[in-house]
Amino acid sequence: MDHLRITVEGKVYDVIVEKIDSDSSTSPAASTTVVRSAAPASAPARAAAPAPAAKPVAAGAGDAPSPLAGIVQAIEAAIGAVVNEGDLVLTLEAMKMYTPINAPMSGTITAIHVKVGDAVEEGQILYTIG
Amino acid sequence: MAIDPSLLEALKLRREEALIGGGVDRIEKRHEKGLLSARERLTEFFDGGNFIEFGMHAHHSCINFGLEKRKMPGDGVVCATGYVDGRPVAAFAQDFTVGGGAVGAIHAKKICDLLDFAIKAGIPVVGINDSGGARIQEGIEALSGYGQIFFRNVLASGVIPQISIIAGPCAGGAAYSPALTDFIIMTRKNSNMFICGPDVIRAATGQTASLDQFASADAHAQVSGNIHLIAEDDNHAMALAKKLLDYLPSNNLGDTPHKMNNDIPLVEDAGMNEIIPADPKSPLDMQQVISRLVDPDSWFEIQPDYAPNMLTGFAKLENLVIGIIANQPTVKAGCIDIDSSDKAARFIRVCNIYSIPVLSLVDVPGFMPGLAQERGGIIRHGAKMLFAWASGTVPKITLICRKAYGGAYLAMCSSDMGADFVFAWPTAEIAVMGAQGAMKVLYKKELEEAEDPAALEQELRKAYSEKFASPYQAASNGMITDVIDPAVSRSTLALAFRGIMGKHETRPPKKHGNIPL
Repeated sequence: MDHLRITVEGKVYDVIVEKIDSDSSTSPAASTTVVRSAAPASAPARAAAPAPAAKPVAAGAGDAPSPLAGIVQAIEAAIGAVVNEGDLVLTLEAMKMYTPINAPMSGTITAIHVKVGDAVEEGQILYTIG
Repeated sequence: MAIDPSLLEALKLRREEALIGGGVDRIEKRHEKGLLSARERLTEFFDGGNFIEFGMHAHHSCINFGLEKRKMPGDGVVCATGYVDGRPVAAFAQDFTVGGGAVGAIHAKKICDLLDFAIKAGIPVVGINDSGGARIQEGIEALSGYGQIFFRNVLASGVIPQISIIAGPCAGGAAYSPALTDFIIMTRKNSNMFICGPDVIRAATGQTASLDQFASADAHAQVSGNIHLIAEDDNHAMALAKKLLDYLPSNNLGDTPHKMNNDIPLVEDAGMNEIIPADPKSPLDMQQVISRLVDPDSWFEIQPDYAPNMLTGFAKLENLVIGIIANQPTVKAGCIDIDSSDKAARFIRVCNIYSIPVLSLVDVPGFMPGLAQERGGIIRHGAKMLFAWASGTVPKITLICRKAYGGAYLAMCSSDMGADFVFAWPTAEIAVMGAQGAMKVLYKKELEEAEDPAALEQELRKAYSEKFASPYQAASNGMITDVIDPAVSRSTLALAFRGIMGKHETRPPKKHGNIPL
């Protein structure tokens, strides 16, 4: 996995790029995780226009995006685990409730992008199934 | 003294010509694609395949671009009345085999005449859309035709149920007639609905977009919320339209098709208690609650794929037709957001129009927090639910299952919003806000000054939860009818609905309220 930093319109993104088999038909987005940098490094000053709403990161078929903002409460499976569609993989706590994040498809968990206690945003990819 | 046989022969020939529409070849091609012809769709729809056709011998009025020499049987649309489950219903089906089902002046007049007839007769209308759009050769005559259809859709709205089936292309202005009706059913394949197609979008904005992304049944069911139900094929679409009619009266003054049982069994359903998780943070699956509450196989979910954190649909409770609005805590914690507000408000109003009593099942932690929600107008959208409940005069019963917090509690129809009965389970938490948030407001100073703030907060939070996260404070203030054992919910609700069916409530006279659109 390569760690890259890209700047788009003054915003800095840390990007993890994972190379998968060239004959794989998986879409590129399925193995790309985009994480907003904590501090935008020397971003040019912007006009005081209202900031646009955060756009959810485009998700691939095996990506499990967070349906709402919350805290990661429990992770039920590890990288390499084989799961069936609908299996519980991760639980969020948000709005006084646990929200199960079940596997969107059957396969092997190739990446878990968060850890217990992390605050996550709506649309953020929590884990990926290959 | 007998009729001149040549007259009958001439009639027979004319009928045969009309019945074949765009010709056997075109109909055969449709069959190969798994599609029915316009007349076959109506045959499938009406009882016994029998219907009275309006305007079979209609002919287009266009004399431009050589069209005067072209025959278009029925001018591309079949209009009829017949019976569904013994009740009269009007329906039209655009005939794609005749000039691509395009809309010209006479085509539009036939639809308008049918709508006028249905309003006059007080019977539902089902429109089967399968049309290439306006007949360009007829110019603004075609455009005017759409306008006349829209006007009648609006006149009929709130008077007779209008159901649209999208079973082919439905593009541009044509999409607005279905949009004005009560329910839209779309076939999964072979149909699309959009205002501007991919070419126009690319030319105007440079964006590349495929029909699958914005015009397909899936896109409209899940993302835009424009449609209510997806049909697997033509036959399924007709079956869904008939199923909708099974829950609806023929018009706003007609009797809702209740087939009430004489006896209501008083039964305890211990299984209901088993599906309620002990941990208040573990989500309750509201689908399971509904299936235990209502008559077997009667739950008919409307817009199941759109904003699934809110469930809307029809059901029967001891054979009484009801509408259900329910939070679904397994999705987005059951929060009310912009899309779920719109979905619920619209459904409440449909129930109100057709005198269908409404059940609200509450398990809601609040309105969805977030920048996108605030900027998207959650205030305006959430207000639609409040408006729909308060302006609705049908019987309204609320069952608070678990969480009922803040404004979201009101938006699910508290007694203040006009609920006739409010029941609560012992698991109900009716409070202005959750313990965590309340601590920061109520005890900010104490917590800052405490030697062990964490211990103090835990202690205070426990006391708060015991006092407020229960149904008993609301019960002691007279805000709920009763706290009930979940096991007796079905019988309690069935009896309560039966007891309020004679409700008659009015609102101050006005042209109409100003729902925050």
